[in-house]
Amino acid sequence: MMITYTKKSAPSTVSWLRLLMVAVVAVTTLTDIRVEGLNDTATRAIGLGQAYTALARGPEAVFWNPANLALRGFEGEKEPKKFTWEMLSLGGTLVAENNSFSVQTYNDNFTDPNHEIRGAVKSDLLGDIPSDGLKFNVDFHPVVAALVPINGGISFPLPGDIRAAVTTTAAWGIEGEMPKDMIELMLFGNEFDRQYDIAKWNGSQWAVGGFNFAGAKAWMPSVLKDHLREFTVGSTLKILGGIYTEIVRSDGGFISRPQGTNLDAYAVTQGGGGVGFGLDLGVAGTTRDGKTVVSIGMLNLLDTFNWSIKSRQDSVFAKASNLRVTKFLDPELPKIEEVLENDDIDGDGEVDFNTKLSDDSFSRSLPAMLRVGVAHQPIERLTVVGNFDQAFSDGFGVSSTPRISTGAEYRLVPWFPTRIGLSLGGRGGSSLGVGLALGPWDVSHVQFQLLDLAFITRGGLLPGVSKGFVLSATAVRVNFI
Amino acid sequence: MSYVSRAQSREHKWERRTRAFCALAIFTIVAATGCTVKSPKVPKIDFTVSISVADDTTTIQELAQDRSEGASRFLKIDTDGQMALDFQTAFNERVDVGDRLRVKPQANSFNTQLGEISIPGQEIPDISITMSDLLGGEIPETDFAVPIDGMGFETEVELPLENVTSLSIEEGGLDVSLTNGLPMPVTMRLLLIDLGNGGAAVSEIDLGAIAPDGGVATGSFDLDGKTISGSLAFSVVGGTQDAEVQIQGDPSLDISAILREMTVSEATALIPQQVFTDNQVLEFPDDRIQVTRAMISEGAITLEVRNEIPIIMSVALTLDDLRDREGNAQTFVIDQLSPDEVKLVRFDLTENEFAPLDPLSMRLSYQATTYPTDTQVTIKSGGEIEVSALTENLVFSRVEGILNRLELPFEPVSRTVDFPAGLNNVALGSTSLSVFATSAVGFRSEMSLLITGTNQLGQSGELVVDEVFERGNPSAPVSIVIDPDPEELTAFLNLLPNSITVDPDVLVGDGVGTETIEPDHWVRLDSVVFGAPARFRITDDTQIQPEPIRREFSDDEARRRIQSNLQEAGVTTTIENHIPLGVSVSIQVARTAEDVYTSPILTIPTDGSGFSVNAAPVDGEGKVIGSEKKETTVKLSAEDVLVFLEEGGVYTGVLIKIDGTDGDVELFGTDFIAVQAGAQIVVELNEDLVERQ
Repeated sequence: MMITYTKKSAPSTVSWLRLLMVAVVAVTTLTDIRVEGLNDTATRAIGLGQAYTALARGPEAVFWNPANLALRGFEGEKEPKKFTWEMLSLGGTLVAENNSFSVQTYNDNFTDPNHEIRGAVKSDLLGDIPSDGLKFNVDFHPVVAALVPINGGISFPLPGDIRAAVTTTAAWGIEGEMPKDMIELMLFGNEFDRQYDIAKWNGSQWAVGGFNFAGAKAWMPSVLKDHLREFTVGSTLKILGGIYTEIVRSDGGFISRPQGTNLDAYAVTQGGGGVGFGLDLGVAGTTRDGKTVVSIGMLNLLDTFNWSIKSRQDSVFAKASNLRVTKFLDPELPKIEEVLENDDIDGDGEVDFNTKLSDDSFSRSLPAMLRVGVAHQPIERLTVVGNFDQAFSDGFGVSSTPRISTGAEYRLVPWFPTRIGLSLGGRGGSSLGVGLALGPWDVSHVQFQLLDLAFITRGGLLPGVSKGFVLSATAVRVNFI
Repeated sequence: MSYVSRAQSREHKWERRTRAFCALAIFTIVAATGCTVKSPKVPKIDFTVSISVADDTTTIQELAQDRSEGASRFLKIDTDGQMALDFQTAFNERVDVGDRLRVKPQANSFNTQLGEISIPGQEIPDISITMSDLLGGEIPETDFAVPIDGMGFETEVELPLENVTSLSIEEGGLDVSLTNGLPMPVTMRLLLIDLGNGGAAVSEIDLGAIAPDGGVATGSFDLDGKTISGSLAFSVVGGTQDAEVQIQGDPSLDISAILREMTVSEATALIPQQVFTDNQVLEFPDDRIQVTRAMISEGAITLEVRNEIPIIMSVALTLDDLRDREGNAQTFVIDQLSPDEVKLVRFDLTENEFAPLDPLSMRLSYQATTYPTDTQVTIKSGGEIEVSALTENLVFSRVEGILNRLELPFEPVSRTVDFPAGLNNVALGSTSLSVFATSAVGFRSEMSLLITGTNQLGQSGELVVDEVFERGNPSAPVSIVIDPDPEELTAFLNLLPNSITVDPDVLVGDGVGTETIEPDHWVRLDSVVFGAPARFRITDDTQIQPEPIRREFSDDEARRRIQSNLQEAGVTTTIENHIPLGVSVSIQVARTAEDVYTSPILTIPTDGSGFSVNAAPVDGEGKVIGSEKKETTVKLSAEDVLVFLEEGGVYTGVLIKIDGTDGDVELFGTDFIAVQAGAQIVVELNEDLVERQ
C-alpha cells in the first residue's frame, strides 16, 4: 500500500488530542478486546489513570516506551538526569477487581448478618453478573530496592548520545472467571431438570521476573524537523523468566433430576516454568513549543516466551450418572472414588480424577501492546496527559480491551504533586484515580521521595459503584542521580 | 489591555483553575477514602438444594435374584419368565449302612430236665418151692398113685433187686414164669411184696390152674407207677385138689422172674449213663434284619451251663446255624461238669457264616451225657441242667435276606426363609415339593420326612412325607426324585414359614424282597425343594413391617447447625407400578422400635396416606398388561425433618401396604416397580452456619 502525504500545516496539540480521541473511540467501539498492562502500575501512573506513556522518564520509561529515555522533557523543565539509580525504595501496587459486584453492592448485601437476600435481591445480584461469568483478578507488583531495584532500575548514558537503562521486572497475578451458573447455584440453589454449567472456569496465574535492557537515542527525521523540537527512538530487550499456570479449557456441569444427578465436568490445565525474551520499540517526540510530548511505544513486539521447564498438561475431570443422595449415605461407599464414575485411566487399579496429558512445552507470550501517550504542560505546575493502550492478546494481567485514559498532575509546590486520572475501557472499565506525593527533593546526587500514594477505582468512577481498586503506595524512594 | 495585563489575567485564570483542580483532587481523595468498605458478614440466604434421592426400578427378576442366593433364598424365575417360590433345604448328607447291619439275639436261659431215667432190667435168681415145703413134711416116694388130699398153701420167698435201693417206676414190669413140678395140678396166685416198704403189696397176679408135672404158667407184674424198694418178695398162695398121684422124689414149684428194663422218675440205685438233649433258639428282638445268609464280622455268644443233677456229666453245645471258615459247626463240649458246677463257653463268631433256618432266630442245641455211677445215687427225672445264653451284637458284613425298615438316621436340618414380615394374607394356589436323594443301598427303601415350619406370627405347621424308593448299589447309585403330592403341602406353605426344619429318616427294606446289603451301601439326601408358582392372591389388605432401623445423628454441632438453618423440605415421588399388587409405602418414625408402627411421631407423607399406587391392570389370567403411575409431592416442615435428628436417635421403618387382590395374580420376571424420588431442601445460609463450620 502506498501512502501519499500532502503537506499541510502541522496540526496543533489540541488537534492531535482530538485525533487521538477519535481513534481511541473508534477502536473501542469496533473491538471487544480489553487491555491492561504489565508493569504499568507505577504509583504516579496510577494517580494519573495510567495515562503515563508520555510522562515516564528514567528507568520507568522502560516499562512504557523506551524512546522516552532520550527525551529532554518539557520546555522550562530541568532535563532528566542522565544517570538515575533507584537505590532504595519500598512500596508496591495491589490490583483487585471484578466485573460484577460493586463496593456498594458488597456493602449492601454482604456486611450485615441480618440482611436477607431473597427474591428480587437475588435476581439483582445475579443480574449484575454478565452472561460470561464473574471475572476477577488480583495483581501485585512490588517496588522494592536495596541497591538492587525490583521493578525499578538504573538509567545511564552511553557513548553516542545513547541513553540506556537496565531494569528488573517482578509481578505476580491471578485472574479467574467463574461461570454465572455457579453464582446462581450459590444464590438460589439448584432446580431439577436444569443444566448448571458450573465447570466453565477460566483463569491463569503467573509470577514473572526479568531483566530489561533499553536504549534510546534522539534522532530527528527531516520530515518532522519542522514540527518537533526533538524526536527519539528507543528499544528494550527483555529477558524474562517465571512460572505460569492456566486453565486451557474447561466445560461441563451437572443436571439434577429427581431420579438422579448427572455430572460431567473437566478442565485442562497447563503450567510450567519458562524463559523468554521480548523486544519493545518506541518513538517519542516533543513539539516545538516544548509543552507537548507524544510517545508511542510498541511493547513486546517480538516477544516469545517458551514454557518448557517442568511443563505439563493435565486434565481434571469428574463424571457420574444417576447420582443420588443415598449413594453418599451408603456406609459401604464411603469414598468419593466409589460414588463417582471416573475411570482408572492409568491402569493402576485406582480411580483417577486427574491425569497428565503430556509434558509438552507451550508458548504463552506477553501480549504485544500499543501505547500511545500524550502529555501537555500548559503551565509549569500543571501537566495533563492522555493515553491509549491497545493490547493484541490477553494474558499476564494484560487485557486486550483498549483503554483510553487521561489525567492531570498539578504541583502546588514542586514537592507536592497531586494527580487525578480518568480511564475508560481496559480490564477495569471506567476508572477514576487520584494520587499525591511528597517529593522529590534533589540533594546533590540523591533524590528523595517520602511518600507516593495513588488510588484508582475499577469498574466505576465513584468508589461506591466501582468493582475494584488499584492501590499503589511507595513509602520511600531514594535515587542516586 | 496591555500585554502584561493579559499575562497577569492568564496567570490569574490558571491560578483559579489550579485551585479548582486542587479542590477537586482533594474532594476526590476524601470521597475515595471516605467510601467505607465494611467488614464482610454472611447475610441470610435461603437456597434450595434439589437432591436426587431415588431412581430404582426393581424388576421381579432382580427381586428373585436377590432372593435366589444365600441361605435365605426363596424366589426364582422359571424358564417361562414366571416368578415362583423356590427354596430348598440342602442336606448333601450321606449315611452309610456301616455297622447298622447288626442283631443282638435276645438273651435267654434254658432248663433242660434229665427226663425219664433208664434203669436196666435184671434177671432174678430162680426160686424153687418143694412139695415138702408146701406140705410141711417129707413126702414119701411111691411107686403108685396114692391119694393126696387137697390142700392150700401159702409161702413167701424173697426177691432182692441188685444195686437198687428204690425206684419210682414210670414204666416197667416183672415177668414171672412158674413151672408146676408137682404131680397134681395146682392153682396159684403170686403177690409181689415190697419188703423195703414194710411188706406192702406191690402187685398180684393169678396164675390160675397149672397142670401137674411141668405145667407152666406165666404172668407179669405191671410196675408202672409203682414205687418199689430194692427188697421185694413173692407171696405164693395156692392150693391143690384131692388127687391120687404117684410121688417121685420131692417135686417142686419153680419160679423164675425177670425185671424188665425200666424207666423211672426217681431212683436210688447205681445209675447207668444217661443221655438227654435239647434244642433251643435265641430269638431276634425284631424283624428288621431277616437273614438268609450273612457273614458275621464281629460278635460272640457266651453260654453258661449249670449242672443241677448230682451226677458228673459232659455237655456238648452246638450253634447249629453257624459255620466257621472251614464249614464246621460251632460246637463246644464241656467234658466234666460236676453237680452244681457252672461253666462258661464263649463262641467267637467272627467270620462265621450265619445261615439260620429261621431268619428271626439262632438255633442252639446241646446234649448232656452222664457218667455211670459207681455208687448208688438218687436222681430224679426232674433234675436239670441250665443253659444261659449271654448275647452280644452280631455285626454282619454282608447280609442276604430281608430287611424290614432298617433305619438310617439323618440329622435334622433347619433353615430360614426370608419371607417379608406381614405376608400372612398371601394364599398360594398350588405348591410342590421335591426330595432329591441318591440311593446306593441294595434294598427298596422308604424315606420319611417330618417337616415342621413356623412363620413370623408363631404359627406352626407340620408335614409328613413318606415315599418308597428303589434299590441301588454303590457302583451305580440311583438318583431319586420324590415328588409327593400331599394335600397338606399347600396349606403348609401358605403359612409362609420362615423357619423350617426337615427331619428325615430312611428305612431300608420293605420286609418282603430278599436282597443283599453290605456296610458300604449308602443313601444320600441331597435336598428338599419347595416350590410354588407365584400365582397367588392376597386375601386381605396386608402390611409388611420390616424391622425398624435405629438412626442416630451423633454430631451435636451439625444437629444444631441444621436445626438453625433448615427451613423446609419437599419430597416428590413418582411410582410406576407394573406389578399386579397395589402398593403404598410410608416412612414411620418413633423413639422406640415398638412404637414405629403403632405410635409413630412422624409419618411421611404426614397425612398417612403413603406414597401409593394402584395395582397394574391384569388380564384374565392375572398377568400384568400395563402400568399404573402416580406422582406425589409432600411438604415437610423443618420440625418434621428435625425429627430425624433428635438426640438419642430414632427408629425408622418403612411400612409397606399391599392391597388385597380380587383373584389370583401372577408375577413375571419382567414385572417391575419404578420409584423416582427427589427432595428439595430449603436451607438458610447465615452467619451462624458459617461461624461454626
